[in-house]
Amino acid sequence: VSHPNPDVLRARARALRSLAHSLSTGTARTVDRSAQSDTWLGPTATRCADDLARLRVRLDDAERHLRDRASHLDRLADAAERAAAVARAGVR
Amino acid sequence: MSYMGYHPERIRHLATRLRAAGDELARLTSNDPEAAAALAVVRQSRSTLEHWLPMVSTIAGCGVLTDRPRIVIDGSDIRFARAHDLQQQGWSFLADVGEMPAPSLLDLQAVLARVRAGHVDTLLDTPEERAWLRSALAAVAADPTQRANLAELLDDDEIAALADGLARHWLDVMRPPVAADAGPRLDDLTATFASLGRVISAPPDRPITWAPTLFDSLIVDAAVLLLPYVSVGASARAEIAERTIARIDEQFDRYRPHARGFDPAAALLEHLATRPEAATLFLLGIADQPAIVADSSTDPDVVRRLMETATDPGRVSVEDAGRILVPFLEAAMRYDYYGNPIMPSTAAALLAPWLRQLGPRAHEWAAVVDGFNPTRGTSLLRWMLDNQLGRDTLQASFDRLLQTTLIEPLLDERGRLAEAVLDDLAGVYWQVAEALRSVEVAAERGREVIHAIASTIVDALVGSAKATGPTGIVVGVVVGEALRRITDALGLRPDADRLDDDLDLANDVAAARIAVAAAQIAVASLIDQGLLRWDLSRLDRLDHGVDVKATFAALDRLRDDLRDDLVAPPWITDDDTWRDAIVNALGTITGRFINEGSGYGR
Repeated sequence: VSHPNPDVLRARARALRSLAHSLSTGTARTVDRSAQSDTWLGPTATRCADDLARLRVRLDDAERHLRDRASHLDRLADAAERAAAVARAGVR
Repeated sequence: MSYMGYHPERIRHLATRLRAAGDELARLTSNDPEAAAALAVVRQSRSTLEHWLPMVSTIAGCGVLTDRPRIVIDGSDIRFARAHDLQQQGWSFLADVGEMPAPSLLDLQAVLARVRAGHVDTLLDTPEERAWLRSALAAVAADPTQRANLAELLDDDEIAALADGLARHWLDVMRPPVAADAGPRLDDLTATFASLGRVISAPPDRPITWAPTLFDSLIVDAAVLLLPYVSVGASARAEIAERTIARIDEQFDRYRPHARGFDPAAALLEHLATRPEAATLFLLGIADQPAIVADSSTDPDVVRRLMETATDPGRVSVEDAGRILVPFLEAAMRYDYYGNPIMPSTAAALLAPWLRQLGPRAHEWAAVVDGFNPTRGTSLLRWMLDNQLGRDTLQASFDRLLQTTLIEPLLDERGRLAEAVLDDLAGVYWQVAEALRSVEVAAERGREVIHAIASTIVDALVGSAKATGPTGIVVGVVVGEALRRITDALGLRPDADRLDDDLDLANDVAAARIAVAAAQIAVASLIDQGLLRWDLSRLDRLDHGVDVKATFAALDRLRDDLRDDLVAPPWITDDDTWRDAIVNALGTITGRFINEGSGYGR
């Protein structure tokens, strides 16, 4: 039985976390604050602020999803390492 | 009108950030399949940003949009107060499409600034503005945070200015001649008062501080129109009402309803009539100056409803009823004049439940009203009965006395009679009869009143006896005895020294009714106990006292029937003592009236 390479899995996890970090710190996550009623107001402004608020929520979800998947890959890496250790012990 | 307002510098900042956000998202890439879902969100987000960027950039760049002309905000409309302020601060405005968002605390803040500056009359002069204000107040009231912030902004002066402004519009609508569309306009104003009342009636955890003295700073009409919609305890409501009615009383000429089309006193009293506890406290509070109600209000129906509510025997104590009714009604009696809102008929309706306290129980009111006694009680009765409407009202509402009198069972479980109840009823009956004799009233009308009262008493006593009567083999005897004593207590035997001929007849009729009732209840009880084989429909055929002579003749026959029909278990029929007791009781019921009751009887 071949096991996935733990190092590869951990590298993918790091890349996903990096992407999540970019989402969490990007301008898109806070742009809705610049569209509030101290900047502009009226029906169009309200629609814009609502759209940007929804955008922020979706990006929050995406960031959480990426971190979840990264954790998943880390767990797979751990399991692969344990399996490899067991295999090595069996050979001896 | 919909508008788009923007701050030129901040809209440029927004454009910059939209562009930066889009650029940043565009740089995010990944080949990992686990990132696919997140990158789909990123693409969708870029699409959103790209949707808004052109419009915002155009506004930020040249300040106009081809399809949205630049506009200038009119500061005289309450709905655009904040926009007007922003325009003054350098904001630009374009026409917009779509519905304007719900007003916020910031909008209210701008309105309140104008209110403070004294512009309230022109600010609230259209239904659209008032509808907007209602929606602003409702939106703020529904949000605990905004409400708490409003508490910081709204003080007595602003509340008073808003309420006064609304009241002045109200008076404009009410002032004769009243326009055809007055109804909807008043509804609109009422709804706005309700909004204002709700927003200042904060929940206990976030109070907006104001005291009953706030209402002193309102014009009287505003105080009256706002009070129904504020949430305050009964004592505070009563206190506000007392202070307001005093202000109306002080300047009654100013508040004459026929000139203004609005009677603030009537509106105030009408409101209190719907708040029983406050109504009682209010009248107790002004009982030492009873003329204030009569002097301030011109609507007798409202005054009657208020006083009925305030002295409802189901809710107030005997003492409080006396504290209120004696001063107000004696004052009305002393100053009886056309137009006085407390008329004899009002007094009759109000005193009906409390007639015992005018005579047999006058001591209960003497304990709380200095010097009250049965003589003063009779004076009140005479005042009521000296008036056709007063007599009619007393006659029609007499049963209210019985509601307060027959709370206690007429007979206890052991068949003992509640003699105090009977003494009270007898006392009331005689006091009314004597008061009737002392006023100028046609014989026929006097008879009707006394007959109606006697009938009411009889019906109630029979009903009460049936409902609370004792159980056991001796029920017929006990009930018969009870009813004999009732007639004694009522003093229904004719007395030439005390009654004139007209009342003699009335008493004979009443006596006949009592005899029939007594026979009915006793016979029914005996049948229930299996002691008597008898057809109750024979009793139903008895004329209830309309033809006195025929009634007594029928009762005479009934007595003989009962002797023949009485059956009982052997232990009773074999026991002469029991049998004689039962027959004698029945004989007492029927024969007493035949032998002693009346000259009409034989």
